[in-house]
Amino acid sequence: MKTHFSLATLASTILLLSACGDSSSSGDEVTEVTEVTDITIPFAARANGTDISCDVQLSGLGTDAASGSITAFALYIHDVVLLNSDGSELPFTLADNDWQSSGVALLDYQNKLDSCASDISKPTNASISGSVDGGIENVTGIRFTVGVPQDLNHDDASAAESPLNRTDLFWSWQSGYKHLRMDLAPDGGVTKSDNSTGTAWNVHLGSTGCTGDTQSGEAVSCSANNRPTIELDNIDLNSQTIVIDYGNLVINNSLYTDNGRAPGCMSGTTDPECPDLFDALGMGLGENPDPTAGQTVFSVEPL
Amino acid sequence: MANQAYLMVAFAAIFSFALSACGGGSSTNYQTGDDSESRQFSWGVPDYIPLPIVPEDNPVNETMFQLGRHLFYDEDLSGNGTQACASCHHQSMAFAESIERSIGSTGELHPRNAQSLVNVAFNSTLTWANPSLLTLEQQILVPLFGEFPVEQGITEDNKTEVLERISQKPEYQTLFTEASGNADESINFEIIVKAIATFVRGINSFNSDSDRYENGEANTLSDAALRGRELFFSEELECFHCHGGYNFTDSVADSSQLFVDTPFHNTALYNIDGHGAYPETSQGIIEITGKASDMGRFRAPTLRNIAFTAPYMHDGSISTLEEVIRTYAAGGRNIENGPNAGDGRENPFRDGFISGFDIDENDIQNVIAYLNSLSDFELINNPRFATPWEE
Repeated sequence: MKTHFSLATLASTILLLSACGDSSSSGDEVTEVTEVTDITIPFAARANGTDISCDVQLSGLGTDAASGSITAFALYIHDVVLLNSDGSELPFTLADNDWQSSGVALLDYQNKLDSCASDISKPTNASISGSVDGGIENVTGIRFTVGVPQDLNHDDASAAESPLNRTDLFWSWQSGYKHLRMDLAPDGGVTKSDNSTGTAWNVHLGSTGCTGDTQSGEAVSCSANNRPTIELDNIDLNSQTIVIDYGNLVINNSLYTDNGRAPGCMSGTTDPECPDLFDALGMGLGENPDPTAGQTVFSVEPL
Repeated sequence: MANQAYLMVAFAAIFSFALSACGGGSSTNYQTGDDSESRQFSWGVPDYIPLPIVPEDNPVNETMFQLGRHLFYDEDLSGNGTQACASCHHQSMAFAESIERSIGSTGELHPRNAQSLVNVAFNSTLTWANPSLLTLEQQILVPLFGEFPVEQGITEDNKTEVLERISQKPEYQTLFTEASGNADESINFEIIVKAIATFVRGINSFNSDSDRYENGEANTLSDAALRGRELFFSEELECFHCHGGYNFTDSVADSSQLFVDTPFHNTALYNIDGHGAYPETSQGIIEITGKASDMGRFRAPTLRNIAFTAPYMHDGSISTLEEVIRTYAAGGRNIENGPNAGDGRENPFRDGFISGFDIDENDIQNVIAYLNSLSDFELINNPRFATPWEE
C-alpha cells in the first residue's frame, strides 16, 4: 500500500472542479477550473552511495574513513517551493497524513524500533507528498527549509499531532524540536577528550539561544535558528530523487573522536565538532553566523 | 495497529487534494476516542494529552475499574492469602515501594524494585525490561502467576482455592455481576486480570506543579525549580533524551502515534567482568532477547512523582535523587569493591547519552527542586485510588 502511495501518485495531474461555495446558489455561479498537480517527491538518504537503514554498515565516513551503523536518522522539512525556469515559484502544499501535518513533513529512515537495537520493524518515510496549483512542466528547481518552522517550534510538543509528537525528536519541553537527528554508533566507539570511550557520534540540529517563556505567553525567539534553506537547480521531478548524503555531512569530521561537549554535535556554539557540520549545511555557527558558501549535503540524482 | 496506520495514509492521499482545493478542513490523523465510551471514562487525562491505547477486548468502564480496585487491594488474590498488588504498590508512594527490592508472598526476594504504576497505561512496554510485554493484561499475569520469582504465588494447585476465596466475599458477587453480567460465570482469572488492568489503567497523574506551570499558571515553580528545569532540558545534562515528553520517558505509547517505539537504555551502573556484565540477578532485556548487546538495557521509567518512589534504579541500588544525579554526572557508577565491583563508566553497552557532565552542589539541588515539582499530591491522596475495603 505504501508503494502505491509513493509511486502511483507521482506527478499525476488532476483537473479539479472547485465548487466550494453555497451549493444552493443560482445556476449562473462561476465554476472555477483549477489545475492542481499532485506530486510525490522522493528523498533518498545515502552515505557514500549506500542507502541508509538500520540494517547496513556504513563505511568510508569522514576523515578516518570510519565505519558504523545508524541509531537514528530523521529530519523535518517545511516551506517547500518548486521553482520554474522563468524564475516564478510554485508553493508546494504538503498534504496532511501520518508523516505530514501543519505544513511540516518528517523524513525518517530508521527502520527498526529501539534506536535500531530491536528486530521489530518501524515505519519509515522517504518522500514528501502534496500539490501545487498549476502545471509542473516548467519546474527546474526546488527550495525547502530543514526543520520545524518557528511558529510551530515552541508549541507544547506533548499536545502535537503526528509527526510533531515524536518524543525522540523533542529538543526540550517548549524550546522546540530537533530539526534533524542523525545518530551514528561508530565501530569500536568514540574516543573522548578525557580518553574515555563513548558509543555515539550524534548530529542534532536544533534552534539555540532561545529566550521567551511560552508559559507566560511570551513569544520565543532564538539567536541561532539553525534551519538551513536548501535550493537545488536543474531538477527533473519525473526522473530524479533528492539525495541526502550523510557522507558529505561528516566529510571533514573524525567520527572516532570527540573533542568535547556533546558526543558529536548538538548545535552547541562551542562544540568543536559543530563548525564542519554547519559548513556542510551551508550555515554559520553561533549567534553571528557567517554563512559559508553552498551546502553539500543535498543533491539530485536519477531515480 | 500498523495496518490501520497504513490505511490512514491511503485515505489521506485520496482526499488531501480535495481538502486543500477548498482551502479548509483541518484533519486529525489519530483517534483520540473523544466520541467513544473511552472518553466518558474518568481517565484523569487532560484533553490536550492523547488517550492511552486500550486493547479492543477490554474497553474501559467504571464497573471494571471498581472491580479491579477491590482486587488490587485484596490479599486473598495470592496463593497463600497474604499478598495483594497493593502490598508492593503503595498509593502514598505513587504506587511504588520504599524497599530496594520487593519480597514475594512466600518470602522470596525479587530481583527488582517495585515501580510506580502511575500513568502506566502510557508505557510502551511493561516492567523494567521486557520488549515483548506490551499490555497490562499480559503483564498482570507475571505477579499473579510468576514462579521465578514467586510474587503473589498463584499456581495450578491453589488457583481453585483462590477463586473460591474471592467467590465467598459478598462484595464480589455484586461487583462481578455489574462488571460482566453474571458472577457465577465471571469469577475467573480472565475477568480478574482485565479488571485489575482497567483499575491500573485509570491511575493517571497530570496535576503536578510542573503541569500547572507548563499550562501557563503563574508562580507555580520556585526559582530553584525553574533553574533545574533549564538544566534538565539542556544538552549538557541530557536528562530529557530518555525522560522527555509529557510522561517524562521515551517509553511512551498513546493513540496519536504512528508507531510505538520500545526503547531501552544501559545507564552504566555495573561492569562486573570488564565486558559490561550486570549482576546475574537482573541483567535487562538480554534476559528476553538473548542478544549480547542488550546487556544492562532497561526501560526509562517516568519521572513523574519520582520524589515519592525512592529508592531508585531497577534494583533499588541508589537511595537518593542526589546520588542518582551524581551517578549520571560521573557518566556511570564505579563500584570499587564487593561482588559487583567494576567501572560502569567503561561499560561497552553504555547508552550514548550517558556521557557525564559537570554540575555543582547548588545545581544538583536545583534539579531536585524541579523533580520535586513533578509530584502530584492529588494523586497520592485521591480516595478514588485508595483501598475500598474497611481496614
